[in-house]
Amino acid sequence: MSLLTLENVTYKYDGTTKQVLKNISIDFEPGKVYVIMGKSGAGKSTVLSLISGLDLPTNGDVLFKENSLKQLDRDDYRAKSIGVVFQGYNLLTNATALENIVLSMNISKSSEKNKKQFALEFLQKVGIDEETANRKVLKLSGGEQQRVGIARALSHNPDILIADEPTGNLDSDTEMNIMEILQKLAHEENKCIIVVTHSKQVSRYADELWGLNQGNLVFVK
Amino acid sequence: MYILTNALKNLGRNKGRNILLGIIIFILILSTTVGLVINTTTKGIIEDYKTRFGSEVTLSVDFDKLMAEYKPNADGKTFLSTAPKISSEKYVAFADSECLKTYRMNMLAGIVFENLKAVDEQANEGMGSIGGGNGDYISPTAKLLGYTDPNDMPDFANGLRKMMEGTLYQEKNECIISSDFAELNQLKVGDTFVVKDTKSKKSIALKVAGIYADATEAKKELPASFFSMEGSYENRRNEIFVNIDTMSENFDISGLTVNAEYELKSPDLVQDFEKELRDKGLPDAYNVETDEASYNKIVAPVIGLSKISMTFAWVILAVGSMILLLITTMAIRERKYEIGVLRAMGLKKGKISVMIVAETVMITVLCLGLGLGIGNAVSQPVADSLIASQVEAATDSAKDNMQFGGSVSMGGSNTSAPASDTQPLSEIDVLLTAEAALQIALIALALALLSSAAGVIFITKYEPMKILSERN
Repeated sequence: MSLLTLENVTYKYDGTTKQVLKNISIDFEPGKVYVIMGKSGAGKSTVLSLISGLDLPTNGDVLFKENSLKQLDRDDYRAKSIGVVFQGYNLLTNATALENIVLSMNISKSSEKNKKQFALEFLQKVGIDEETANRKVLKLSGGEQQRVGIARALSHNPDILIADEPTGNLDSDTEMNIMEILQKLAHEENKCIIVVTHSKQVSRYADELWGLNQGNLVFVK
Repeated sequence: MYILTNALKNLGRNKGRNILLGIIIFILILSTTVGLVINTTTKGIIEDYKTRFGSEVTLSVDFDKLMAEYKPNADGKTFLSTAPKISSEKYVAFADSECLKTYRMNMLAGIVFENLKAVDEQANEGMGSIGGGNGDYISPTAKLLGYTDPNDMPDFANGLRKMMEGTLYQEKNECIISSDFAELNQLKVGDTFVVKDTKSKKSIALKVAGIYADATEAKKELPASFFSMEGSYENRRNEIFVNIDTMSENFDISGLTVNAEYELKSPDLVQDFEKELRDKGLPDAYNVETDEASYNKIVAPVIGLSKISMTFAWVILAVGSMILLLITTMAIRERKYEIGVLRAMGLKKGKISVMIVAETVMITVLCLGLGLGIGNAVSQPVADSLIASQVEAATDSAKDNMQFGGSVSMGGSNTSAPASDTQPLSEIDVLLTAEAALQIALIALALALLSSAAGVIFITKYEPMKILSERN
């Protein structure tokens, strides 16, 4: 059964006539890693913003568990049902890495009793030690921020993880490590992982590979 | 709860901005505290004096009206009209008014005794013909004085007269007499004697309720060369005090000398009371006035101080609020990204608004504590300095009025005249009242909401995607 569906989705930016996405349809199922590849400006980030409920399509619909995002409380949806790893990390820069994770868990009303301990363990899984976890995000390197972003997206145990170039600033070893974590989440914990990238390395972890070209979504393998 | 925790943490995360915000809010609260503390104190003083001076009614002769009635006589010379007299009945009738909170009245009757002697009665010998040739005329040998308020009886409050036996009169037809008079006539508490009003010729029996010792001068001291016309009537040992009802219910009021002081329920009723008095026959030559001159003289510096303090507080508040709004608007632009991230994480607009308001409220509460404490401490020296300049201004103004003329007020014979030796208030003790503290807290809360308003408006206006895409 489809967890998330894009149904004839068309998207135009306000005040423009150009269609960034042209009538695209796709079903995302749990337990799979989806990789969407495309060149810069192909509309990858737009797809992510629609899936994550940060924006709504001009035409068509995005359905989560068969319910239109237009009808759902999208704040709740973002807080509980999905985790997003942004290309630009989008972390709270004045807060520590640990505080970012704990706050995300609080927003999603996570039932974890010791959120701080849980967050530290989660950060350690993505290679962030306790000392680094207690540093302000502003003082972390790009790679460290990316890992914090991943940890934050996963911290509240969402059904769907959406990642925009999640390994862009990571070395190849860490990239492999992160992708293995994501693959494990899909295959062992039945999560739906959607990765947008232009990295061929990453595409190797895909259960379904899709290409995005001039607003059209094409199944590759 | 995590919203408040995060708000608290945010205070430390953005120290520079919050310190600047705190300084501005502190200055605003401090100046408001000083202004309001001074204002509430001065308002209390003004109200108190207004009630005191604005409630006591004076019936004074309008000199200008008398002057206007200058008329030439048969010789072509002008003369000043005589002020009409207000009868004793009218003074009593004036007291029967809904406008009055209270009134104080005393009545005087000239009396003679049946079978008793007045102290110093031998001084009356040779004065028998002074009263005139009218056969009905009886020359009084003593005074019967009736008071609505026993506290008004002369020389009891200052200790020159003191009750030594019995009690103060309680009932109608009870009286107190001097020890000299009692001794002369061998009267004691409980005895009864008869007095006759020399005007109405009515006699009443008075029961001695008490005897007072009298240390006042029995008679006015006059130089030896002066011919004294004072008989026993003017001897103070012959003053017999009774309740005013004893006078009004036994004698004809028109024959009594009446003094009355009226106190209004509120200074605002003066016009209603005047209308009532006119209807009851108060002559046009009389003005119904409160002691506004004394009130103005005493309270003028305080009113000035009150106005300055409030103007100061309002100006600072207005300018400060604008600066505050400007700074918070700029600050929220800096926080745009943070808000975008929180919204992307699924935090609702309402909760972000609460967080922003909570941050400002926390800063404000801190500033409120400091502002109230320091403001209360500096209010007194500020008030002292301001009132000194106001007293100086009031004194200069009074001098100008003396030089260039002012209004003339003349008290009637049966009225209390305005005090002319009143001094302006030169010092006040300012105090932070609960009312002022509450007002300041509400103003501080309003400031917190105002400074949070920019953030809240921003949150409701922008979508997270727009904020994040702009930043990225």
